Amino acid sequence: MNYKKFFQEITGYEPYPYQVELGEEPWPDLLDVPTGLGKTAAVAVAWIWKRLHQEEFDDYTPRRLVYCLPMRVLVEQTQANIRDWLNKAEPFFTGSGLEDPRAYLLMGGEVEVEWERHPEKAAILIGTQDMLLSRALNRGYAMSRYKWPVHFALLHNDAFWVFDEVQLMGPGLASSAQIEAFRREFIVGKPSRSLWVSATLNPEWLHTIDMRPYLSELKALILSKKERKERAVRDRSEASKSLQRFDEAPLGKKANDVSDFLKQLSRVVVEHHERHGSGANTLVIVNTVARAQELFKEVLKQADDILVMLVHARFRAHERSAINGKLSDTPPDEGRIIISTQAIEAGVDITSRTLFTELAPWPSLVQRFGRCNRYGEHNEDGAEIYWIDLPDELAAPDEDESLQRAREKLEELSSASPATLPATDEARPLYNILRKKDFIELFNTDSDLSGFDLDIAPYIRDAQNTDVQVFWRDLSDGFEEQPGPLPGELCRASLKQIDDYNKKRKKTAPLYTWDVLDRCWKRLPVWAVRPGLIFMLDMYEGGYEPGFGFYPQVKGEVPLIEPEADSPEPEGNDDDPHTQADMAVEIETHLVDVEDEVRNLCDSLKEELEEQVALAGRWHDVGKAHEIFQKAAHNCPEASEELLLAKSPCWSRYERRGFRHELASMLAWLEQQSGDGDTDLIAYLIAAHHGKVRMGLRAWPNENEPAETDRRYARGIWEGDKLPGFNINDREEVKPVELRLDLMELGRGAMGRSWRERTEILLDEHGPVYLAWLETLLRIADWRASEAEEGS
Amino acid sequence: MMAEEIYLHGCSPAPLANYLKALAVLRLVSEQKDPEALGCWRGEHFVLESKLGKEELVEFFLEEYAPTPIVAPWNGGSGFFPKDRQTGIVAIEKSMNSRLADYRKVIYFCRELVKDFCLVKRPKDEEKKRLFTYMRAEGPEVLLSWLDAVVVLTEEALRFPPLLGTGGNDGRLDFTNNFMQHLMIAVSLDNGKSIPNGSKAWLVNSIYDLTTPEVGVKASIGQFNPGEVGGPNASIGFEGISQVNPWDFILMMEGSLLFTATTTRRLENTGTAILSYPFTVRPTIAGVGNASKDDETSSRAEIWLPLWQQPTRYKELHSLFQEGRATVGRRPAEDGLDFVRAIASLGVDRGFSSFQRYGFVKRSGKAYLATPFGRINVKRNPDADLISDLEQSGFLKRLRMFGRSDGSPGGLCLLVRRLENSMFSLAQRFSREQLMDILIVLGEIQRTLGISDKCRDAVRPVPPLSESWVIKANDGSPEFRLACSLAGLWAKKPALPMRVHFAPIKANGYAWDEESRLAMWGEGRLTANLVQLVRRRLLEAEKAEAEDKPLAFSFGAFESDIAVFLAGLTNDPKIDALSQGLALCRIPRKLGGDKVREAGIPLPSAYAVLKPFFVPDKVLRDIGFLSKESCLPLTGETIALLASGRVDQSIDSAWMHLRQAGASLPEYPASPPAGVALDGERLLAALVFPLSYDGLRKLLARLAKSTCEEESAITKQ
Repeated sequence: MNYKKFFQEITGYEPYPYQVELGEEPWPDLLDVPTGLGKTAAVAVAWIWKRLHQEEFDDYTPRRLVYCLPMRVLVEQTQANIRDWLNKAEPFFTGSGLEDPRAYLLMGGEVEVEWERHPEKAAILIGTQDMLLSRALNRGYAMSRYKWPVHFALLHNDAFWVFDEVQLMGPGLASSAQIEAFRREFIVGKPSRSLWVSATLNPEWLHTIDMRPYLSELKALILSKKERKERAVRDRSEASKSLQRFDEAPLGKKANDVSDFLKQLSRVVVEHHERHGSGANTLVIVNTVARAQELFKEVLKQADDILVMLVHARFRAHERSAINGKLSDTPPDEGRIIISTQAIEAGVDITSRTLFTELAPWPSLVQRFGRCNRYGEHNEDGAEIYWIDLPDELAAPDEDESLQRAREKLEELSSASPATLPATDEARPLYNILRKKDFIELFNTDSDLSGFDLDIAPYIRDAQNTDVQVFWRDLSDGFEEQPGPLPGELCRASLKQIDDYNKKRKKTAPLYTWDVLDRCWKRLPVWAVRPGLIFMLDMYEGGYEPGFGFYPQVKGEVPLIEPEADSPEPEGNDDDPHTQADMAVEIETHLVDVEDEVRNLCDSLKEELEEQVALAGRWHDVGKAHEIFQKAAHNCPEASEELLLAKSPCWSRYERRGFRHELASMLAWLEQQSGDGDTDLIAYLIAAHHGKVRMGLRAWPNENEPAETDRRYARGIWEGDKLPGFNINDREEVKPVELRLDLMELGRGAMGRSWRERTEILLDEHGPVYLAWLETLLRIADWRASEAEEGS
Repeated sequence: MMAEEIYLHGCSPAPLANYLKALAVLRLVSEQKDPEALGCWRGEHFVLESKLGKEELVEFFLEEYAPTPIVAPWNGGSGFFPKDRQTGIVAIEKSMNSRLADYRKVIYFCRELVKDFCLVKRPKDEEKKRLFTYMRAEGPEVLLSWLDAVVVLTEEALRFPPLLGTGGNDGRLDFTNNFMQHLMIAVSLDNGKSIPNGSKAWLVNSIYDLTTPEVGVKASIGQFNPGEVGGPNASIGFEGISQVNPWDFILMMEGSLLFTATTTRRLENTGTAILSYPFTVRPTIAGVGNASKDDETSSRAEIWLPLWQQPTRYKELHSLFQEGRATVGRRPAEDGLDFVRAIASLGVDRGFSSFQRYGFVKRSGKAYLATPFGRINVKRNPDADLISDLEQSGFLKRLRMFGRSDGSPGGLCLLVRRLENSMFSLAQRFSREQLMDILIVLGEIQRTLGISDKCRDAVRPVPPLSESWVIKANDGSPEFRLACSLAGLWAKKPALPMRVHFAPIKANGYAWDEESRLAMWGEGRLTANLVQLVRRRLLEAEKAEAEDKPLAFSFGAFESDIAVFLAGLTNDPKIDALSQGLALCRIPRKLGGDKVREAGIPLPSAYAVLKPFFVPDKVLRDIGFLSKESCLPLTGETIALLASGRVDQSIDSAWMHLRQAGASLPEYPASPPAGVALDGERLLAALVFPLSYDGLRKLLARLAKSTCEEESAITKQ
């Protein structure tokens, strides 16, 4: 079977030539194709094909396809398609004796993690830039911090990054370029690559300092002239859209003017829809949520039998995803009127016959025009766009200039057909750029103990986020015991909306916020509201209507969203998942199992056997022989006193808070080595196998202290603690040892180099990508061996 | 090659410039010559351990050292604008020396940037931020450490770590331009190896402190070295003529690059990004001997510079400096007091042996000078952990903020300062006196806060303190035990913990009670207050129809303590003040510690006869003095008699009541003991102090066989 056929088999469509090229030729770095021509299919199906026929290609197609999208809605649509193609591709994989790849979702509220255990399996990760880029920066959102290095490693080794709709990525785009450049410099375990995809890709955007040297080598795939002349392409690129100024009523600046205007506008919209809108969407895009809500009310009053929808970003995730679902339905016979804010600009794959839009910055307008006659489906009956001028007073403070530029452009134009639209001349906004120095610093995931971490947000998204999030609860039985919000409950709101909410309630409605340090809900005074906070509100105070979104003036009860399942407790520092098992497992058994699993894993990855990782596997849990661990593990008759246990069916708390066995393992390892070669690397891998002891070695603030104030201690290990000797089967003898902690102090001490110096040298030598990869192999082997032990 | 140890006598922990020089030598040698180089502090000097000998180190700086490109095109006077002094920058641009290649690259980059931004004078606000953002995004790698040391880019604005003034300048002194000018003097600019005249002598003077006949050049070193800045009398501000060794200036700037800041934020998305500059905290004058409040308000910040004794690589230091960790419990240290507590709780990195504390204080005109505020040794001091009790509900923070605000009463302001100073010393070294003083101040603070509406609105009452405070503050004196016994008075129904009498607070929960009738404690004599106290408690008990006397207690004093008090031999103001502080604590049943022996001074029988009326019936029953059914109520009459000095009458009445209640009293003499020579008010006060169970048992046992002889013997004492 050739690729063309395969493509057709999978997608049901005959491929465009560019799609064929993507599947048959080496990968490009840039893909510049207009929207609506099957970019996602082009990339995903080509990846599937190349995974199936890896040996026929010179360039390597990494195992993990990381499909990075700027917005949630895009992720939802993309994943549905990809899952469908993967299903259809399944027989091909089974036929070739290969395991078929799975698709996994990574977006706010829905983060699938099963892929993290299977670095040797092909997989497609589809996620938002927040979720994926934060992981690429070793600060993954919505996950345990102790697993950051694992996701980091898996997204930089054997990963094929596809950045789609890059024009919407903001600073994330520059970061994607920088990260690709860093990967080209650092040692990696397995090669990775990036592909940037857009309808309007401007290579200038990738022009970051570290990517610059590689720019000339980047290969772009664009439509050939012939392709551009094809009907399907022309239908879209030359889709007819007449453009005219909306003159029926001017939008004034005063409140009365605005409401008058909205009345006029709604009348025109409804009349217009009644005349032309059967079976189609009429889309109205305004710049503020408040105007969208008022307009929605007006239109509802006038449109009797027409379906009217409201779309903006101030809905709870629960209602928002329902709305998004409905949007992709085919409009009913009498058509639909959709009132929206810019939330609809990108993301939702929707088209309309008539578009009304307020004046906006040019790039934004281009996006909006794209929502009208998107596929050329109204080329026959004619599509129309009306733009509504805005008085300067209603413009956002920093926007008047770019509005003026957009206005000038609009006044020149009578059609908004993509082919005739002038390109954007807006300069790439100036973002904070992630430098190599920053990337290396992010390798260190030690908590600084006060809950603060390096701020990666500016490298991922536009910084001007002035939103808060709110959710509603029944607080009649008190607010203290309320559990945290579920993703579906959260609704974004601007500071201004919160301010209105407070004013409408004469500042008496409480805003509760979670105090991280005191771990309790606290009432926040109105003046202390600031961006980024999450508030719990009283459902009886109102402020929200499911069909309307956040609406400060509405009183009445807010319906609650019932939780679907209990969310698991986050992992704490003392926690040792996998230590509690159905049966007792001896340390030496577990050590041997993990060492063997490391070798298996490397085997299936066709990786040169990483001897250091295997050795680290053999030693990783030696520290479980520590008295504190054994005491905690011997809590029932099934856990025989005679045995040194790695896992136990009965488990009690450690006598010392914050006890970390892997630190004891590492110290024991060091005591038994002469200190040359890979001693430190193996020590690091041992210490890091739970992600809790990595670059630094410090005591925690709440630890139990030894009575002697000068005795060193860290993570529950006290200087002078003794480990018994034992044999790791017939592989190695662990000698009895007295643990020393000199290396937790800076500089050269009785144990030679300090821990920090050793880890800094390792990072220098191996680079963050490779070091994390080795670290991850051991951790995965440990997970798998543990699972197998539990299953046996 | 063997590593060689060199003492750098010119590099000492103080002044600040000398400290920075030490860091510069280690950094530059590590980065440019020997990555294995180590450095540490011994005594008052920095020691470099590297493959370089003493002479070779000098040669390295004179012949090889490539200066770090330090520029500040956002500053007026930086050399990038037409009106600026340009000698230094132009000299570097024109030089052929390969050691300055990076510098030239950076200057070129900035010049282009200034052109692109069409700048003819220093940019302001948004423009400045844009310029800086661009430099951070596009600047050569070698520029980044400097940029990160001098400016922090936050979402809102640029912030300036105080160590480098406000973006590499201090007032009108631009550090970067000066740096370039000094380089021009000290470093050869042509491609040859010719060394500028005097450079070697300056260098040797700078790092080894060997004096030479050459003098410095006219320049200012700014905030880094107060000793050398022309003072206000010598000239105007820092434009005064000071003699600066060019190498001092160069190395000081090079050393400052270790202090790079980072933006951090709470991951859980609950706050905007906050800034942390390494080892830099808000100024406070706590622990600074002769400083005044004005010094605090005119200070820009404090910086606590670590000293360490184990030879350490630059790379490691750099990462630790970058984190600049100083945490109190789980939060970062915010000011000097926090910092000293961080040290006491080992919330700083292990291996730092001490910290040299500096305040950037405005001293002459506009200039800030890094003033040394002393050295603090790193040592675990578990006793300092007590202070964290005060952080409950943000009390300490709020109190300290309010104490500094304009609205706070002057008295409170002084008390807060006294508290801070005591806490500062306590964090360094534990002393009972200090802790006792803290308790007393807290008692006073509670009262002061309670008096005014404004204070009560601003600060909540002192939070409950643990028993450890009491046990650790115990100095073994009778006064302490007496105060402790008094502070531990309580009653269940109505709830009458002792603290409600000292300040208007609620009996349950820690909140102010504006309508309190219980806060009766005044400024007068202790005895007078105790009389009022017992009256008030009795009244409350009557109102609530309490079943027992409102005089339950947690801790009882020794008999001899009360005897000494009764004899008027105690320091009453100490008891008064201490009990107010102790009332904030949970009072333990036993004070523990060393067994203090009873002094063996007995109480008179007259006291013994009256005492049961001041002990809850439950206690009397517990010790077998009263039978289950009987009770011994305290009446207003007894109090009135004692208060008005009619001691004998009150004893007679008590005697009679005791007999009626069936208490075991001696057969003969049938008459009660005499109360001669006893002052009524004092006796009444002495009766209010709870006596230990043991003491009570003995006292009442004696009552059964007391004699007149005993009596007179005791009262004479």
